[in-house]
Amino acid sequence: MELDEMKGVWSDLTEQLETQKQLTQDLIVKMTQEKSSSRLGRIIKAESIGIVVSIGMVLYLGWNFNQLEHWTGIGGAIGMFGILALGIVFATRIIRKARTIDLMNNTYSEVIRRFDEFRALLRVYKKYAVWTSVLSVVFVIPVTAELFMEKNITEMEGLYEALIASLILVPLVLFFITKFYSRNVSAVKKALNDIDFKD
Amino acid sequence: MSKTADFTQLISDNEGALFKVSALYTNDRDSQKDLYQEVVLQLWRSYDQYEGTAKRSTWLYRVALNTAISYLRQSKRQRATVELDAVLPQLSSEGNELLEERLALLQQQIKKLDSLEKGIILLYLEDRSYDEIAAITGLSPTNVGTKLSRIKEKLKKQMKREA
Repeated sequence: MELDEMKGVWSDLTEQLETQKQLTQDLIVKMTQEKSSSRLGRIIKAESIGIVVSIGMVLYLGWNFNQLEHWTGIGGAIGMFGILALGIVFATRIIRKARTIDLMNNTYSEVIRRFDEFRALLRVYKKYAVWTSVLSVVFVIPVTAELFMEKNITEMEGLYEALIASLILVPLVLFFITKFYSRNVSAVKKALNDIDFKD
Repeated sequence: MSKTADFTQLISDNEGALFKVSALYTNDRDSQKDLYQEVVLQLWRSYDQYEGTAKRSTWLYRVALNTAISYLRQSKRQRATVELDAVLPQLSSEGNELLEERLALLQQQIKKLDSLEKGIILLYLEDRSYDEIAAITGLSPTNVGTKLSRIKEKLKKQMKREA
């Protein structure tokens, strides 16, 4: 096929497409909004994964609870149950709140109002994540020691090393959690700017 | 005319061009649809920044091609085998079999080019002037001419090899 022939084929295609125009104003607006709303879906997906992982951890702890004998392990497991349960509740609320930000069926001001509520909830969740990540170190170490090393925390070798490692890891984890949420919030903000499809 | 109406009019007028860009930069109908929507979204986002200094078509092609190129970079799926039939438009009326066949061949050749070359040949086939291609791609008009000759040579070689 020569280039001139290519141009001919292309021009035939252009003509064919001209006769097949299908997009209406509604469809174009809907298409744009749909694409924007998928960004909220990412947050919902991330939170859903968080819920599944937390439920998995709760089940694992529940299954192995009778292996814990020392009070530090039992206390740690109870503390972790609490943190995970609260985390699941928070994540569920975030998902539910995110789902109320209906870009297709609400007015812009309504969406903005719901987004503000959503952001407020995320702020609370962030504070919760900061506190629990510090607390979880205290809870995780005795549980891990008993379940994986079959020793209670008082007999555990390398306790101080584990504590130091946790002290280094906690700020890192916090940094990523904070980054994750700020990124998600700005993604939603961006989505809201995208949906302002009115003059 | 309101902003929304003006924008939707622009999209309706250039539906074919957007279709062709999304068809050339993707390998299956789902990705094509996704890229098509992404291009419309990016056009909407940058619509406020369009100052009217460039021609509307120049601005539209620039946004569409930049979106397609970045889509291609992000998508690992592009390494999959090219399913040509899947990206062909629905040429429904009778007697289009020949056109479909020739189009398939044309797309097959173009898809072997790199992202920038694809964009340049697409604009050439769309009958855009060297100056406009230069404004869209950010190259100089002379560079466009040089690149275009190379692309033509490349296409010729490709076709000869397969003949």
